[in-house]
Amino acid sequence: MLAFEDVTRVHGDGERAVRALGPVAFEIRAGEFVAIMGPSGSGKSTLLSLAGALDQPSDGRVHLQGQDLATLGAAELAALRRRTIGFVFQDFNLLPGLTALENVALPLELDGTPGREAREQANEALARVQLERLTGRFPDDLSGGERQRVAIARAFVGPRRMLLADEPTGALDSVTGELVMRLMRDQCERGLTAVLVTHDPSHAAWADRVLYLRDGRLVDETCAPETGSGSPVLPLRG
Amino acid sequence: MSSWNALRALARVELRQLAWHRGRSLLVVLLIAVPVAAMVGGSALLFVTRQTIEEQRVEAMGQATLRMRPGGGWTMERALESLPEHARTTTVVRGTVEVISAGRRLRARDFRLEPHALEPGELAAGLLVMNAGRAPGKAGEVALSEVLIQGLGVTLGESVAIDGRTVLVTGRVADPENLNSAVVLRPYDGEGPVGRPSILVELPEAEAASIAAQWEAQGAQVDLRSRTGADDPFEAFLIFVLGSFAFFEAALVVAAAFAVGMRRRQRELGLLGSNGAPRSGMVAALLVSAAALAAVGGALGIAVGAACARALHPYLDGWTGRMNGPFVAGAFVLGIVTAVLAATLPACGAVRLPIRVALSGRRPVAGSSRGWLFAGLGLGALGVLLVLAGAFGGTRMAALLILSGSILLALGLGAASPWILGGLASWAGPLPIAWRLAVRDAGRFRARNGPAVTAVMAGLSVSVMMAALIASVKDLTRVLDPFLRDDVILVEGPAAEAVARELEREFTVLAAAPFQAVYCDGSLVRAHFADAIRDGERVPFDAWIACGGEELLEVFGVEAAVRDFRAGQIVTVTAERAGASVSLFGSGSDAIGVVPVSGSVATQRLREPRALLSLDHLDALGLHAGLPPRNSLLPWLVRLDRPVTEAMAERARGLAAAAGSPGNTIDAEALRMEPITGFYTLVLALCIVTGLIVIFVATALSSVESTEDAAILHTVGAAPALLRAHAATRAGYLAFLGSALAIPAGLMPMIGFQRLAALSLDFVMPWREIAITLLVMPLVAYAGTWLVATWRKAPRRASISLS
Repeated sequence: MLAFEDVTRVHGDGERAVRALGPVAFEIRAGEFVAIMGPSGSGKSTLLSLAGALDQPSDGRVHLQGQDLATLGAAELAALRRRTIGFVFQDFNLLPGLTALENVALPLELDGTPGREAREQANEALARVQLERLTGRFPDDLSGGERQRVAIARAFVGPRRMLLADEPTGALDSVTGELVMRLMRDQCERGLTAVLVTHDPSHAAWADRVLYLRDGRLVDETCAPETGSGSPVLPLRG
Repeated sequence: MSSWNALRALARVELRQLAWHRGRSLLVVLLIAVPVAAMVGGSALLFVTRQTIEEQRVEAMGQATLRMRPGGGWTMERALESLPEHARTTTVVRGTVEVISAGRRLRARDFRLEPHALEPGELAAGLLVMNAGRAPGKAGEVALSEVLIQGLGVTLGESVAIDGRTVLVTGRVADPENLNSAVVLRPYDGEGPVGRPSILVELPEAEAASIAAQWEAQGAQVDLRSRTGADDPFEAFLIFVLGSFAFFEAALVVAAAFAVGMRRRQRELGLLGSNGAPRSGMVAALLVSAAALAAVGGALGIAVGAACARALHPYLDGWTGRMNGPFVAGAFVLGIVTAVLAATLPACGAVRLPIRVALSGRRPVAGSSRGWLFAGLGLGALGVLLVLAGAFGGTRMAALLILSGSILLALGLGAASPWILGGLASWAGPLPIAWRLAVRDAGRFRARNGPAVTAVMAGLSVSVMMAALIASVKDLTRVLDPFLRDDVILVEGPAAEAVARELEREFTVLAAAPFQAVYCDGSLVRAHFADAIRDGERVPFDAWIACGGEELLEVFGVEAAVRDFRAGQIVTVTAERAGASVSLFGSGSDAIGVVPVSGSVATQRLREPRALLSLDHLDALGLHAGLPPRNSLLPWLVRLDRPVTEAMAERARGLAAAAGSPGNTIDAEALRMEPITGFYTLVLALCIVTGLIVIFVATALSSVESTEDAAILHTVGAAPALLRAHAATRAGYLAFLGSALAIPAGLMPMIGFQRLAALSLDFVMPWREIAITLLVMPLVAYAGTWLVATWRKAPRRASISLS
């Protein structure tokens, strides 16, 4: 599903160049739930940006569903984000001018899906995150947990197969955070691929695999003994 | 002391911000500089085109400190006797005389001065100026002004007759304040003055004031130099009002610029608050930074305004190089006040935000805009009432009422705009995504988008008003009779005859003739057409009578009436059918005679002159020729074989300019409306360009609000075209709303002013311009923003908070 081939990302140039990531190489299979952990400045968010086609690597290649992202133009990358990739952010990033339903239907509408059909699919997605009764509310009228559930619904609505989450529970209380993690896990059970950036080991424990980054490099990797269990944190390897 | 230190620290932060955000600072500087420059330049040009107080004093009393005219039993002799020995005096006698030469008779202003009184250092110096020859030094000598010399066909050294006495023309004199004036200068020899005598006196100021009081008590008319001359407050008022309009416009955009700046610095202000910065100190520091920018803008505006006025001076007479101090200072202060007022609301709003919310960087949810709606409705209603009171009340303050009512209406509509934005946002559901976001965002951030809409409205309302004015004036010109035949060129000035002869060589001329007006004892004669009928209705009217030779008939296209003309009948050049005879009136209310009227009607309708009389019959009727009401001595009319085009008129103008003596002018019907229409169209174009600039600046500022939304759209896969459409739609929407509000804001003052117009101006709706305002302006705003969005980079990843 997603493959990094010796990917490096350097910000700035010359004496002011800062290596934010890499080189790193890994592969994430379809339906896999991968967590990325590491201290601040280790390159987690840079990795997520590269995976979501929001940024271009300085070196190496990023393949998504077999496609080299470097070969795609701006419009094709935008189409990829509409159809394949869904983002979930710590601060929700919902459009405040759209209702919950409209926010979820947005990628479909942008992709040309007729309005009624888009709203039906959005309604389904909201029902899956148990927000079917709040579809007409604007983000400012929702709680933090509700906003994040709307964001998750938007991330997997329609044909999207890849969910990229950057500290999605950072602004939520622990109970709501657990609920969000369970939702992500559920989506992976349904075949979605998820990449989660987190500081919290208890949230990383929901993943099938945990990648550890330090100073922009992959330093460790752990796997769950049995997938889909929602089991606690795995021991570090090495 | 501690609060002063805090203010100093906060002001330092703010002033550094100005340097960091150079683009926004430059925008504010320019927005203040433009109206300041306009006011400074306008006032400087006003100085040029209007008499200064000193010029008014010189015109009235030369270099004297006191002028006395006898009255109430206080005679010239008694006045001279009462003066101290060290007082210098000279006598000036003013009146009117008839000058005759080679059968030509002209009336002129008569000045009798003591010999040498005009020389430098003398008391009458500057009153009149000798341009050629010498001043008359003794009885039997005169100096004439250029128009008299040309009109009478005399040269220096020849003789003319004045009041029955033959006198020698020794020089050419001019009234510096009216170069085309007919002036006779004669020496005052102490003999009984004929006309209005006055004594010019030079004394120390205090002594002059004391003497003046003494003479006034005796009934004399006394003018003290220190009391003579005054500025015309209306022109100053007009410049200040127009300048205030410009500042109002600038204030709205400056307010939007500050609002955006505050929004961008929300976290920083929260940080200052969290470190204990007092709210009042933060507001004061923000206002200090606004004042600093305005001071820079004001200085720039003064420099630009002065430079523009200086650059224009070759096209104007009398540039003095002096600046109008009160205007310069007033414009500078207004600029600072505008910027500070514009910054006050955003500054107060920014520091009122709870520190926690400010630090989060989240945009605060807009509060209710109902208060603004009520304020807007109140202001708007008051504005409409004032306009109606001005238009229909018939008070002397009508113009002021209409002006202030129009401003209040614009302010009211602007104040209501946040509520309108909020209301429209709730109807955005069925719209396509880009429109839905634009309308909803505009509604969400209505407090900041309101000033943008108001700025657009204010900019375009002037365009709408100008468009309505042009439409109404054009409509009026279709109804009014023209001043001149379309195939006639009018030549005025000292060399009118020479220019007319040049025109005969340049064009195919059917007829050319000079004309004058009919006078009786020095008063213009008016013919009262009591029985005139037009379109079946009786329309009595008065008209002055042009007199000349038979060629005049051909010039006016009434050559068929030559027999009546020769018979001494009045030939009418009117659309009206006059009665069989007409009564003539001079200065009194009693008719001075009745003259038969020819039945001929001109082939083209004219407004003035409407009646012609043969020069040969004036003596028999006890009348004489004089200056036409146009105040030109001996104008010539030249009738061509075809309608005069602008190009032909331009050629004629060139011939007039090359005629040698200054002051020759050309007029043609083709020029009469075109300069007015051209001027208004230029103003309209400037208003539209200003409106467009305001649209782009205001919408660009408000588009900062949608930066985060654009970044979110980017992450959910919005195509680049949609991102551009998002920004463009917002600009188009705000421009449309501003344009829509500009229509009532622009039409209302025009409805008021057309009631005050000297001519009966019917209000005409400028449909085409309204359509342009409503459709084209938003489309241009949309297209312009689309293009700008295309050039700009896609939203950066950093704008999404990937932790």
